[in-house]
Amino acid sequence: MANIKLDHIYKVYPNGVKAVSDFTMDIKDKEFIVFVGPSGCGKSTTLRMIAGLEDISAGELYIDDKIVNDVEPKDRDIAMVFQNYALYPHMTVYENMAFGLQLRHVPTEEIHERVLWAANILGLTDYLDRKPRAMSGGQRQRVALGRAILRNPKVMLLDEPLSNLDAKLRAQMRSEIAKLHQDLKTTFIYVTHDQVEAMTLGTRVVVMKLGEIQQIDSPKNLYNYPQNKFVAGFIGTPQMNFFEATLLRNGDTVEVDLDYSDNKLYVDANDLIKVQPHYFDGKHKVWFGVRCEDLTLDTTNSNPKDLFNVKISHFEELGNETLVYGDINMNGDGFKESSTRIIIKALNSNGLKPGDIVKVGVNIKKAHFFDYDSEVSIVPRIPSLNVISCSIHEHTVLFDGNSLELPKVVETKDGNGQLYIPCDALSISEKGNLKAHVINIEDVEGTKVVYLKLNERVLFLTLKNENIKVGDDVKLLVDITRITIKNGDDVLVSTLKQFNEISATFINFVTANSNEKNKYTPILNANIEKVNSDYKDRLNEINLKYDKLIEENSSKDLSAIKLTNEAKIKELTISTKEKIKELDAKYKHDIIEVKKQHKINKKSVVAKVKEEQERIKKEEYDSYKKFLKTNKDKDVYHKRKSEHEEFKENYPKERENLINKALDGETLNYESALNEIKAPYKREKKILKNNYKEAVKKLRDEYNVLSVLEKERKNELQKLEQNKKNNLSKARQIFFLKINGYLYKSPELISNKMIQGLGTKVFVKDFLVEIPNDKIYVSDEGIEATVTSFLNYGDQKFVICNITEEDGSVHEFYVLHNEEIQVGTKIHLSFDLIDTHITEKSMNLRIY
Amino acid sequence: MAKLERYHSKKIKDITSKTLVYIILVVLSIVWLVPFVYLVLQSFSESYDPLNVVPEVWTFKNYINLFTDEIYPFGTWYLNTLIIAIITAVLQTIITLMTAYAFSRLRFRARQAFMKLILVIGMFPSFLGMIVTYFLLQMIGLSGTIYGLVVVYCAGAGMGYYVAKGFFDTIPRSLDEAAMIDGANKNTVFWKVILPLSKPIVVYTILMSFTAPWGDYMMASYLAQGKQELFNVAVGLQQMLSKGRDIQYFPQFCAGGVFVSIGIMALFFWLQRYYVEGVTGGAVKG
Repeated sequence: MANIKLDHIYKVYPNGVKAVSDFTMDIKDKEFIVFVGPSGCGKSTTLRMIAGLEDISAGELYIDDKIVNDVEPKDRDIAMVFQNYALYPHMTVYENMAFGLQLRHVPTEEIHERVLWAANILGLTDYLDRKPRAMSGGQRQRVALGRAILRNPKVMLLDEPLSNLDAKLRAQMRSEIAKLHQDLKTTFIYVTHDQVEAMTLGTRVVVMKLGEIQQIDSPKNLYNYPQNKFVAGFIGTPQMNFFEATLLRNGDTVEVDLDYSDNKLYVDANDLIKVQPHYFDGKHKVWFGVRCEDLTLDTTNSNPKDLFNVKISHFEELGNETLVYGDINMNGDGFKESSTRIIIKALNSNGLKPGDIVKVGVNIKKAHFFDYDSEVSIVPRIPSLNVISCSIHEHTVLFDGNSLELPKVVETKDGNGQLYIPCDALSISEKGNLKAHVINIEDVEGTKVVYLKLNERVLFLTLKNENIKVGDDVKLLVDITRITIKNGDDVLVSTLKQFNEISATFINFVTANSNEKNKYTPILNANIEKVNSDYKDRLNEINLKYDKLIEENSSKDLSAIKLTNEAKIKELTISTKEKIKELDAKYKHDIIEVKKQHKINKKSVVAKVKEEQERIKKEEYDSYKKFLKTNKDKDVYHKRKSEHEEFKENYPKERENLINKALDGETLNYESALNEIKAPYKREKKILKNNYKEAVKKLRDEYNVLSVLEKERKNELQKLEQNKKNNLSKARQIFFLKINGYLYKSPELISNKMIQGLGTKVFVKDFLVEIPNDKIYVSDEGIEATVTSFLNYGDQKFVICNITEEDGSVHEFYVLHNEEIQVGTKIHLSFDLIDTHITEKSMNLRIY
Repeated sequence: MAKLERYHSKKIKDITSKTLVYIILVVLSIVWLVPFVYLVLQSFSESYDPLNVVPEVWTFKNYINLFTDEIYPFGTWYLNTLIIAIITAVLQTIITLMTAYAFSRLRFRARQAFMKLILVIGMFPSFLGMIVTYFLLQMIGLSGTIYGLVVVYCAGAGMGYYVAKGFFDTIPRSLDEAAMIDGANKNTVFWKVILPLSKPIVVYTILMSFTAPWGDYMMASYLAQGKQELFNVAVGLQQMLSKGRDIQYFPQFCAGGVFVSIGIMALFFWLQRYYVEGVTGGAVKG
């Protein structure tokens, strides 16, 4: 029923700890989202921010396209289930569930209906009049769930709801929650640290670590395509095996050299086609990750090149299968978690012993590779970069028998290097001069990844919609502005700057207006004028409507109705009083009965225990007496005597304990019985009283039509007045971004984000504005710049100009502009703030 | 055998230590009870005789005299005390609990500083402010009535937040949060969720705020300015012994003392049944 959008959400505590950083996510209606991560990763904080229990430091939270940052939890239409249930202990199950609706003044009958509905779904019908104290953990959590679903909220938030339950109950409740989600068709957000819950429940799972999102994806994709080493290690039990390795490409084979071990694998380069090519140099260190089920001890069908030696250390028998632990280092012990330890899943231990050295086969197609330092996957599902060895000679790039002309304006150095072409900088076009052959097309969640063969190279190209087929021959166009050529750290050709950076401050209307000699007063006046005229229109409308209604009604004669209704009210009063009296009598009677029964029960329970204990005592004494008569052995006598003494000493205590226990049990039963009378009594009485009140009001309104109408009119006018006030204060909120002395009126969207994010501090902070070079225009007004040169890339031409800030720093701007402007000319640059990125400088908070 | 001996020696040790403890307890209870028993016994005696602990002639005369004596209007004093104590108990309980809740649940600027400041201020004896209190009461026109005392007692009520705050801190915060999501504001949370769970502390606070004015002497005697109709029981009873007629009025004084303790005992026994623990059972996983 609701979409939720988290837009660059931060949580920064007063002591400066960033609990959540830059959390951005779109949650679609009816999704089941799971936040998972180790403790302290910010998953609960994020959930509590969605609930409104924690303030959001920066960023916006949208529920159904409305910003709810400053909305009270109760007005967000959410429900939450807590880890420790958080039931109200002084209320019965029924009252616990009804509490929320009562606070919202839902009619009593409807509450009753909804409570029964929820109790029915969760199997709580028999427990409605119990207090939480008399229920088990699973039942309590079910009550908490019932309380949440009862209100039919837009979003259900669940904060580790199962972690207080034992393993069996947890599995049961897990499937109940899954069923609830299916039945209710509501958006669920679920926090857990248990990856099994995350994988089984979620339609999408958010893996978090230290306040940052690691990956958002479906459970299957998390397992098969982890984006970094953390996710790879976190998802799946037992953990993925990680080895340190280097990759070296020799023609069609890649040598995978595992560190701390003599093992080397020689694999087909086509199996590693998506690995970013510059890792194949034998120097970059990588993490080589492989799951235990992708390793096999059965090597009969394997390619001998995919095998490596493992020294077995120990086994873990799981019944249906066996985990074999070992080490790829012949000196390692296989127990510690290290970068040589290996876990293999096998059907059985197959007669192996610890210390044996065996050959293990690897399914290299399912292996994962991560950069050693950043731990980010180097096998992207959607490749972003093509890397090709090339050489430059006089503005021509040569690679694999192809050539690419660079425009004369590009600064280059001649030499050899690596050519980096972003996948989206390639396009299929008749104007292109590179011929390629389509060998494969892969669909990755709506994006087509096209494998192109260019002589001997495979290049990747990403497309959204274009229609091409495998086997097509196409022409490729390269966006020259976006390529880079590097030789080690030496940049031979660099990418053209995509964004121009400049600093800005945020100022309000009063400051801006006084700086600019009241230039903006008309804007303000127009805003206010609009609000006022809207108000006047609405006011007239309301007055007209009620004047008409009152005129219609004032001509009627109401005295007859008054008489009959007053009589009816009297009748109703009497009958209600009678009913209540009846109820009271029945209640008193029932209570006395229960109390009587309780007294009897107490006595019988105690008597029963006493009788049983008396029997035990008698048995012990008899047996002891018998023993004394028959025994002759002194040692045995002493032993038996001490036993008997012990019995004598402990017997009264034990009896006392048993009696107390029995009494406690009886008291609990008694309390439940009392509640079973009290709760329905209170409920029925309340319903009676409410019905009476409502009926009386209705009858009175019938003959007081005029005053009712007046009241309604007053209410509506009040609302209108409030509305006008809000609109007026909104109309006065006009803000500007001051960039190099020039004022840009801030669109409402940006102003809201700035103020949401930073509060009143927004006026003292410095911001960094980044403007894309194709969204900035040469015009008559705007910041002043001096042209320094002109770049001609053929179909794209750029004006390069300098902007000098007040503090003397100079920014170089690239402006996409098709006409040449003479060097030294002063121009003005304008742009739309909507197209820019805005970042707060000191905390590096991305605002827009 | 060795095992058996050890078993016996432990038993002997147990018995001796328990005997010792009980002897100490008995002595202590005698020390505490003697004055009260003495007071009760004397209240039934015809006339005061310090040597005769148990009266020779038993009589109810002293109790009757309490309410008929024209010199000392005990009835008025009792009523005064009752009115002051009840109003104070109600107001003080509400203020104390609300302050405690605020300190326990709300996070506002200078919260810590406030709590410390209150603690430090509480260390000063209240009579330091007596003169100022008097002038303040005169300014608001309450200096000649018993209600001035109510104001004085209630003014510092918030400072007794400490025990209640400790109790509120043990109530899980998730209850507040659950109620807030259910649609409650802070006020509803306090009255409908927290208070019903805090019966023991409510009872404790009522008892404390009732007994303080009930037995207060200093402020009461100071603000009564010697006018008999403004006395409370403590001040009044003290009057009985102060005019050199102590021997004559001592049995009547004792009867008054018994009467005063009956009030507080009745309150205690009435509230005691709410004083049971375990009210929070089942709220959250323990």
